Amino acid sequence: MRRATVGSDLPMYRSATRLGAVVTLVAGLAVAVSGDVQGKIMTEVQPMKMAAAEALYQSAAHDAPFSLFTVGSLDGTQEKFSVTVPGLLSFLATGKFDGGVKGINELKSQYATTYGDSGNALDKDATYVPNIPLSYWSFRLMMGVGFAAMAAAAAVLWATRRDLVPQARWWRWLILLTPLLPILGNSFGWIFTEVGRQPWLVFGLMATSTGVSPAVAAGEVVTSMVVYTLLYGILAVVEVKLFLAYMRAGAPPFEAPVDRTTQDEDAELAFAY
Amino acid sequence: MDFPTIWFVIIGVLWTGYFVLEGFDFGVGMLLPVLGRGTDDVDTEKRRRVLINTIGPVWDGNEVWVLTAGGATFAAFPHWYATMFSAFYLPLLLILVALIVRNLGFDYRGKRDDDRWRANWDKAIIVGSFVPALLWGVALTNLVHGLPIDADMEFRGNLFTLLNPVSLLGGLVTLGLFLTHGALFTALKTTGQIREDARGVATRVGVATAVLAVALLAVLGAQHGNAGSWLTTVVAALALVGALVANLRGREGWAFTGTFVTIAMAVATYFLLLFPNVMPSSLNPAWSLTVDNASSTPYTLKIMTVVALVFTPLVLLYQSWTYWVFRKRIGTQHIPAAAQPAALSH
Repeated sequence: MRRATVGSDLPMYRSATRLGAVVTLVAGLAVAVSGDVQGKIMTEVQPMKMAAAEALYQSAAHDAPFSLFTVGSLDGTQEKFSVTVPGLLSFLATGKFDGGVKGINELKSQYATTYGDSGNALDKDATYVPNIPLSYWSFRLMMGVGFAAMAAAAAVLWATRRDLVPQARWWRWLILLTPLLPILGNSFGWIFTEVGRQPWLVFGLMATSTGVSPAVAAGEVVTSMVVYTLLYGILAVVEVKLFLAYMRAGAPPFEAPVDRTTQDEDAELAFAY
Repeated sequence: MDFPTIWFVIIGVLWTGYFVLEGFDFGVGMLLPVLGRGTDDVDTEKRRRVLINTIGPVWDGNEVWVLTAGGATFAAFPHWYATMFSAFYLPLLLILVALIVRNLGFDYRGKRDDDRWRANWDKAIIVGSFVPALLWGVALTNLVHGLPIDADMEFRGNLFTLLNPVSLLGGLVTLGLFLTHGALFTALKTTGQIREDARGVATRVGVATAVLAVALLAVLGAQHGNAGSWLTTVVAALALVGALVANLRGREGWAFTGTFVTIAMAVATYFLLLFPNVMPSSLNPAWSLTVDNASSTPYTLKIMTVVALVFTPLVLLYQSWTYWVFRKRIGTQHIPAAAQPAALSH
């Protein structure tokens, strides 16, 4: 967004920026609503995941609090400092502020009884509890990043209201970095949903350990992980450099549309690779 | 015909669709250094862009067919999918990486006006077309020829088991068929010097391919041949010969139709050689995966059939529409100057 090249293209940049901000706000709200619906379904079908999301060790019969931020002991079972919102977990899980939410300890012993003798690979080394710190933090980062994107969008809309053009340099950083937030939110969401379901692949039916392919050696899997990470890493660098180059160059000069319906056989293609 | 057999046929059709369509994409990509060589630098660049633009509007839609083939295998025959994709883990990794860099090559090639940038992405397109053209043939030939599968439906070999003489011959046959098919597509879709050159390439590669293909289908037919597979083999051979003759006579549409039928009949031959197995076991025939022991439940297959009946005609409709819209022949005179912002040129 070099000021030198903006000039007469300012209206175009304004429209694009404000459209992006509006979509971010609307989409963010829609995601929050659909996420809320999903959260309630999750409490019913995978209650351990909801308990893990909140690191709720003791079941709460009603008014379960939602913690925004917790510092706990190293094994995750004791909290030292926490910022909580009363009743919010009950609302997220059940839709009612006085709804009950099952805790990790209660679910753990419940699963040991239900699945303990099922012949599943789990009963030998049974830990029905997923990684709590990872579940807890990825859940919060997912939501935090989503709300941050909406806040940035609202700030942009406010700063460009009427015909205002924001002048401070830090707006540039905000605009550049805000599109990364949905990507991060998406990733944290996936990490949460997969980690929180462990040790199950299909909850209650198939453990992750049963789903591993016996014919694929660990070395092959490591190879593919390394290859994909390297490949996507290199391609990410290439792509970001292209983005930055195109952004610095600014929009191409405006050309009036050409009527192509009456052109001869040898006219150039309108678009070609 | 029961549902598992119906879906065996559908998967055969999906692989056929993939190879007759993406086959010429691979061929055109591999022919970039051959048909894309012009009289000077400007002409070379224009010829390469002509080649890429013949497949430009359609390569993405063509590639989707392999996803449907794999997806149908996953849903209709989960055991087949599990054993096959576990056995082919590393080759499939190679194919996917090749496809990723090829596809990026098409899109990124024109984003900077720099010779080295374009040359590198051209290499990506060429290698990214060569690797799948070879390895898909190796993979499918291995299926037909038989792999060491044990009583638990697990593959018991390693990467080198997959690279045996018969499967490598199969890879060379698909390589040659796709080169020929791609050259004939180029002859059909271009005007000017490229059109002439493409026809010459098609003849030379086509003859070599015909020899290899006869050898391959004879070897495989001797193992598992039946009346149906010999019939499709003969039709495939006749179609290839017909394609090459039509090409010599300048009948490019018929020539392309010929290799289209050749590839379709080759895949049909493979599936007829397989049936009723889906993955014969070279260790013990009793341990082979069959249409019956590898399939999903009838309920799953019934739902899938309904969905397929609804959506397949739609897909065929809009894909044909794309080919109709972009039916015009392209020559070097049609290629505009590079489109990226002036600030990015060197």
